[in-house]
Amino acid sequence: MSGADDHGHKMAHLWLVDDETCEAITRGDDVAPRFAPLATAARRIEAVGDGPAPPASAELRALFAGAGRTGPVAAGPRPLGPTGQVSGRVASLGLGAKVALGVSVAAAGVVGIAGAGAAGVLPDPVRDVVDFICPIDLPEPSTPADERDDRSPDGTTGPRGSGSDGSLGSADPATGRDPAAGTTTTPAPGPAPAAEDGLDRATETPAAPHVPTTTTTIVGGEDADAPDAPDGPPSTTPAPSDVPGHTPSAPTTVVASGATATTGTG
Amino acid sequence: MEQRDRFEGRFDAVLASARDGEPRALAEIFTTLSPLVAGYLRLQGSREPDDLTSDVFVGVLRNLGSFTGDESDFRSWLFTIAHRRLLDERRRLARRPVPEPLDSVPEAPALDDVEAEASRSITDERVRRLCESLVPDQRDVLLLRLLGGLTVDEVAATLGKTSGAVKALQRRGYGALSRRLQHEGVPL
Repeated sequence: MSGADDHGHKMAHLWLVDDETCEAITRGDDVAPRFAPLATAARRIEAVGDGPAPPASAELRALFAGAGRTGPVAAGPRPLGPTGQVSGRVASLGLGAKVALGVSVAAAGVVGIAGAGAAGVLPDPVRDVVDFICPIDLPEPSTPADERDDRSPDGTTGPRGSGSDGSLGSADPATGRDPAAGTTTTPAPGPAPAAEDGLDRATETPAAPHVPTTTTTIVGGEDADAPDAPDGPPSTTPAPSDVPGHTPSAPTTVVASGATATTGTG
Repeated sequence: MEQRDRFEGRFDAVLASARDGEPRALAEIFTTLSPLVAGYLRLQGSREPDDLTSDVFVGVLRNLGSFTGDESDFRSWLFTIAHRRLLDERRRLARRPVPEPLDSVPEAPALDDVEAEASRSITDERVRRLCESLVPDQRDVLLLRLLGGLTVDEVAATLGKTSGAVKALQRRGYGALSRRLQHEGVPL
């Protein structure tokens, strides 16, 4: 071995630090004098963490102020609610689907607001704004009812607004029975011609001689979902006792001497 | 290790208040521990140590409900997140390098200014250069131990290494620092 090698070996020995010394240096305990510079260096490194707190970001300041959080810090990830689930589904859509969905939602919003404004359910100031933004000229809700009244086959005037606001005029709003007529009345809205067609067809069958001269039209309670009666009770609801074997939820049924023709109402 | 009790025994109370969303408690956690995190990130060569520190605490404070343990565990958790954010930043910068501004490059000391250099007080910059001379794994271990106050086992868990590997890196890291100090001949 050369002298240089001996010197290098000696220096390498000086640089070796055993585990016990490492822990002592880390803890800040006293160490052998030859490790004093190393212990000083460790303290200098620790001192870097003694400075002032760095400036907090805007997001962090908002967190300190309680923004974005209304109560205790939630434990774990927040479960997705209905809105979150919808957001997740939307997020999983492709770009084209997102664009199409956005256009659809915007269109639905405009139509919905315009429709609400036209229907008169918005406060006046809001309706003014809606009218200004969405000047859509929609027909007055009472107009179709008047027209339907004109189409009444018996020439009587039906209840105003039936099918739009749910009011039934003189008829009992619960049963749709007109106390004066003694029979269940049918306001004869839009689908009425369809019922007449069914009766006409019944008169063309071999059972034509048995076709009664009067008809009982039963409108099921589910007609409340029909477009003509969006919010109110069904236009005519029969008393179950008046119609043997009738299922209240059945659609419009024309009883014709044992032959039953079922027609759609909408 | 005095580094492990910066809340003067009030850590549990502060943590409970912070979990309830008490702004003062949230701020106290930040002001007490953020210098350590910022120092760790700075000595690790983070480009934006202050911004990264804020990011770390946003993540930590928003997830306090998922934490269980004492102050020691909290610091281990905090520095684990800080280390991961640091790795994220390094990956991000590796994909999109940011040129170093000229004013951040320190001037080399003149050869005839050794005495002035020797008498100059130790600055953070010199400590940073000392740490920079370490192998990255050794630097991770020493900084997590000295600034984070983590135990060998906690460092092992943070870095995904065995305790034996961490001890070996610690020995080599201190040895490298000792060699560097010996060669410089300037006491710290």
